[in-house]
Amino acid sequence: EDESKPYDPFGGLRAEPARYVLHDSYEFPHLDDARHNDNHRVPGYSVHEFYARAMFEAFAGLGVNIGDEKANDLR
Amino acid sequence: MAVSPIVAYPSDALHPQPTQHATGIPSPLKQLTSAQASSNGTPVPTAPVQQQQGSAPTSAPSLAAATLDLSEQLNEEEKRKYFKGKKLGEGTYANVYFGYVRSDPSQLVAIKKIKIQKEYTEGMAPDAVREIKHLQELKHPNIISLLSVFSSKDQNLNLVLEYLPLGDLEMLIRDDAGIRYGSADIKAWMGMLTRAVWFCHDNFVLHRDIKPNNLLIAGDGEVKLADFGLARSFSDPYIAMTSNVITRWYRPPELLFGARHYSGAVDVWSVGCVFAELVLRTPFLAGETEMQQISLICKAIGTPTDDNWPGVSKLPEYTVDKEVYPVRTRSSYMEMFPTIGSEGVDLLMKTLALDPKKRITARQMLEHEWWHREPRPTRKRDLPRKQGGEEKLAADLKRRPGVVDEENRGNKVARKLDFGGAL
Repeated sequence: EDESKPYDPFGGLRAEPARYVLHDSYEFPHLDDARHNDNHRVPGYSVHEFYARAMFEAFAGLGVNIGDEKANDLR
Repeated sequence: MAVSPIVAYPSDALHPQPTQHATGIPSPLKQLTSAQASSNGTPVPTAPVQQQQGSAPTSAPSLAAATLDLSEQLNEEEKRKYFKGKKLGEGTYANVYFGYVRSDPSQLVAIKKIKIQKEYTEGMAPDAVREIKHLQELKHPNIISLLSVFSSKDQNLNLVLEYLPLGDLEMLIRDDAGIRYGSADIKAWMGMLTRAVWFCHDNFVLHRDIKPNNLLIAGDGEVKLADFGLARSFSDPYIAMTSNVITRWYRPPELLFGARHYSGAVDVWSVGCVFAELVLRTPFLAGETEMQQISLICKAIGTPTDDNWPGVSKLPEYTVDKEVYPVRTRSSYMEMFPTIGSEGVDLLMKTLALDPKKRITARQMLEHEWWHREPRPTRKRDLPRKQGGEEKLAADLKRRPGVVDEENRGNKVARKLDFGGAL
């Protein structure tokens, strides 16, 4: 906690995705009901949270080659 | 490790003994009753308890290594890394023991031993499953660390957690005779809580039981979110969740109205309630029943109607008082919460938006202007901490972990907060 620096509410841990950009909306008919039907929309189901997770999981670990990394560990 | 290098082939491998543990895990939802709080205890430190636990690991490595299979050997090895000491707390669902790392006794830990529950003899208690599943993924300075998991004899689960010696936020709020704190301290604590919730949501986890006594305080003053016994991953669309989560006083209106498809906004409401409680030093909305909780929300914040929350009257359990209260104005919040300033009030109002779609997200909370206004948040080592709170702790431990002591507090609080008149 360095008093000379401005307070960082994120505690220095804010990480933005490097390989993709998360858009506000995506065309995906499967989600149309979740976006428009009252049982999801009214109590606040967030389709955007779902986009964020789907995109994260699609790209997470793309640069990770488990075989190589394990081989390096053993060396 | 002192295990003999010669491992005898398990002679009974072809004739497995029938064991008590079965593989079937019952639905985690089927036993939930009204106002269910997470049923497992959070580790709460206390003064030494006289009683010494009889089953303390008396390091018996000779324990027939020959009959242990590989996974059992690994478990024994993990178990032996920790010394398990005095019992710190006893609950219906878990006992918490003091402990330390054998190879470095200065590293203190809390060992939470999940009891076998009558309802779940078929498998692991659902809160233990939730806690392990989520805590092993979440590593953040404001979230309690899960250091290890092992099973002890009788197939009891033991979670090795970070030792947090300075109690919880509830003890500080409640001790209005002994502890004085100001708006810079509130801002520091709120910063730590909001970072914890943001990190959970950034990792697609809903906590679903945020309240002051689940916010534990580390030796250096850092606040840590604990008790993930009701946590779950963000649900996919069309997969229903239970609305029976979050301790009543901190439960948002959409859950009180029986919502099955909700979002991170449910946790943000709880954060708003904790924010208000830090300022008022008494629970903001302390309803004794779900109906009373709804009516307190109507009076203190405003009646949810189709005007301020389109479609709300179609929610499965929508009921409000006949008398309709308008949504409270900024100036009435300013009168009730003057110490946090207009930026603080702005943030508070956004966390307590009735319509979850309009409620601020945890990330947007951290982007709010309030953090950069005077006063600057207190450095964690300068934050107020409890002194001589041992008796209080002992009292805390008598209650069932994860549940607020409503018999003693609810009545008092209901008398103190009267939204009808003064506001």
